[in-house]
Amino acid sequence: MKMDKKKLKSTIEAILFAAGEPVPEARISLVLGVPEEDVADCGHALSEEYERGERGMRVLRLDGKLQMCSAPDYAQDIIKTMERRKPPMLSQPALEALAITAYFQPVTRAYIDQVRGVDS
Amino acid sequence: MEDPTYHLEGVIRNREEMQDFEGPLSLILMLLSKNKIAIRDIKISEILDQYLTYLAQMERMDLEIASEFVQMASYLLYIKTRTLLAAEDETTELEALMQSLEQLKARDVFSAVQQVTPALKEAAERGILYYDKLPEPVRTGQRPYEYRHEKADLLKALMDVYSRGGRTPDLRELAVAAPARIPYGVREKSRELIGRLRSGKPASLTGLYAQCRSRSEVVATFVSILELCSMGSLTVETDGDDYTVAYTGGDAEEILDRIIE
Repeated sequence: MKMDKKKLKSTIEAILFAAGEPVPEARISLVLGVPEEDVADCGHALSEEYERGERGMRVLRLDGKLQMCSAPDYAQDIIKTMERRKPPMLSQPALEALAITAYFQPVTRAYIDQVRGVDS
Repeated sequence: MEDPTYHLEGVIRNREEMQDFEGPLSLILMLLSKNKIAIRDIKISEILDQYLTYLAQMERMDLEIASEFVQMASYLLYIKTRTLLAAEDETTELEALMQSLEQLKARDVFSAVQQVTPALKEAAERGILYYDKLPEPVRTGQRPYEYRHEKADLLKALMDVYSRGGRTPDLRELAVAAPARIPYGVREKSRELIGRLRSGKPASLTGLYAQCRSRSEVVATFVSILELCSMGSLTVETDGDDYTVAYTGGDAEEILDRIIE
């Protein structure tokens, strides 16, 4: 069954809404029986549409996965409405530990301490 | 001079201030990374040869070789001598060199990490503003199973599951997972029982079970006795701790025809 771009886009949109968490493009491609490039293209088009239309939602693409999230511009309003506490920012040591892990993984805690020259 | 003292602290400690050329430790680090050798796997002979070649090249190119480079060459030579002479002993100098190299490398890594953290911080600040939600519950029970599997695929999957546990499956275990056809039918077993008991000699129930060679045969024997008892063709009487099974008579073929498998 060949799926036209408009329908594919709507299908991806529905899947992303229901899934909440990141969905691999490869999985969507496998389930819908369409090429992965088409899924990526539609994901990109969807993302642009949301951004251009200044909508409250965004479609993010990270590491071959698509995810639907709220737009960052409305974060404060979400926090107020949901009565959520503002999420804490990562501290400088946490960022350093994260960067070391990201670039040199797998690493031990001892290695992180050695690079940072402190006890983390 | 049993134990000569060498003042080499300045050689193995990388100086904070940068020289006209990178320090000798940086050169060793560069040689190690060029050869893709981890600091802990350092082979002093190889690294010394390469270090000296490098120094010779610098000399040919008429570069002014800082004394610390020459000093490092002598230090490497000294470590090599120590390792050759005292192969068994732990050479603390080599360990000190490795530690210095590790410290230098860690410092390089840390400065690279510090360069990247502002970008990471910015990404974290941006990312924290995106909100997502939990997945919607999907009712999977109503969906028909759409996949088809060949027998070979299922067996392969089963083997894979077993291999994950680090052992290969025993064929007998597989037989339990997928039971083979029961070789004993109730009618067949009843015929055997009647044939045996028709002679008039009662048999012990435990004895009948004991003669069974498999679990399925025990099951067939039990069901047959139950069936024949219900039809009144067999009687079961207590005999101390055991039970005695006796044939009451009748046309064997007629009885067998009445048995429903």
